[in-house]
Amino acid sequence: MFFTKGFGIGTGKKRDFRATVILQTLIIFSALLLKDIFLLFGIENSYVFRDSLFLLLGAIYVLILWHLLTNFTNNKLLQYVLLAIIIATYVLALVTLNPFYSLFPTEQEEQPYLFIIHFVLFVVEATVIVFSILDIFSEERLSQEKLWGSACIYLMIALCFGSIYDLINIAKPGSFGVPVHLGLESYSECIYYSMTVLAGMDNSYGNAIKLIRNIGVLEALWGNLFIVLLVGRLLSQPSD
Amino acid sequence: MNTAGINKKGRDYKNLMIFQSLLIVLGLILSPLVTVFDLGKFRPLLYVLFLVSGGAYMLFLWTMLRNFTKMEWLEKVTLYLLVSTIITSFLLENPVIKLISEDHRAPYLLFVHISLLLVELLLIIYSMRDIFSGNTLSASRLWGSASLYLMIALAFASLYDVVVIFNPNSFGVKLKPGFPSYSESIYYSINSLVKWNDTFPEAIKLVKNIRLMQAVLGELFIALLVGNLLNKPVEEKVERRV
Repeated sequence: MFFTKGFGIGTGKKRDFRATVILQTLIIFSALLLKDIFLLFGIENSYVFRDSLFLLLGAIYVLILWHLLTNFTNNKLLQYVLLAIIIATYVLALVTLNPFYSLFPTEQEEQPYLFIIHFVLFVVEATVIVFSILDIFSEERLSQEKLWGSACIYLMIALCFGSIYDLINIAKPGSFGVPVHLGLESYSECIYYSMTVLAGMDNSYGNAIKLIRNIGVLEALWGNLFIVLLVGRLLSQPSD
Repeated sequence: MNTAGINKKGRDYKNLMIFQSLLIVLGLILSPLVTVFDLGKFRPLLYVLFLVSGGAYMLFLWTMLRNFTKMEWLEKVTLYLLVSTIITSFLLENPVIKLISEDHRAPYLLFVHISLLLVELLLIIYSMRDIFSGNTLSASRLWGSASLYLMIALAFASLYDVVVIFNPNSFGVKLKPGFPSYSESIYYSINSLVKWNDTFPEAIKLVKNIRLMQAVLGELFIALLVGNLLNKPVEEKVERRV
């Protein structure tokens, strides 16, 4: 039903939410699975595929994030400033993270740039989350747009907290208690950690520092509360 | 029931939840943040921030309580209790002057946490009755449920902290009574509520049993909550906007 009705038609926000969900799924897929799938078939340097696909998907993802944000503000100047910031950050990410050549000889020199990239990503995602939550839990009748919106927020929370963990890991490498290379390697570990927390699973990072542990428990609480309130909101009688 | 009263309660639930989240986030994040990023010189400022948000939270508990009860003596007793708790906690934890020496803090800390626990319990009972009575509007029911969930976390955190004050080794590691132990208690309490992984396998039996009770309560609460949120409120017709 969703799909026959869906693709291509639909109003702005709903289309954006749907596209975001699809892209988020692809990004999580490429971060968590792609490298290991290629490794399974014995392909050397499998990270090249992952990094390229990840950066490509990332480009579309940040543009859609920007488009989502334009739904929430009418100020043209603000919109263009945001677009400029997002594009600049993406170019920085392309330069820093691409797997083909490295501008920086050591990881230490990459650190500040990685920090900026993740910080901007985190701020943009957090803004989208706040606005979408206000939208979903407002008193209006629930529509399909809000369903897509809530799926989108749930995945975005995973990615957003992933960015927070990565920020900590960049600022203080080794925070997870195991050595992780900075860059996409560390981001995919962070997404893994974030998703285990959100799903309420035990995870294998017993030696992570207290800050990561405490943010983790906040995320778990938030995930639980979100699910409960969402179910209540989705099933409650619409006030027409 | 007049609509203005309903509106005020909904707004109060929302504000209470904001204060609770602030307290929980600050309590969990502040001290590890200081250690990770070497913010030693900002530590006093951050402590003051935590104390102020705690004080605001406690005053707000009193405002919330006034929505539920008409008994003047209860309001007065709670107000005096909360104000003296705020003053005591400022005297204990403020970074500027140390009035009470480290060895004699235990009774004062106990007073702070037990009075906090009592007020929170009172409020939990009242708001449970309110939320599950079926005549609250859906929006304020959502906010109310969320703040109730967080309040259970905070109340149990105070309970764990009381245990830790009596026996600093309760979690299996030695904790300094005061802000460090409260922060750890908040962590442990939320951890139990969402049934996340057990970080303190060496904790004493009492703590483990309280954890178990909290986990069961959390589960039950979620089930009841979902059922309750699906109910149509009785007075939906009265006023929709909160």
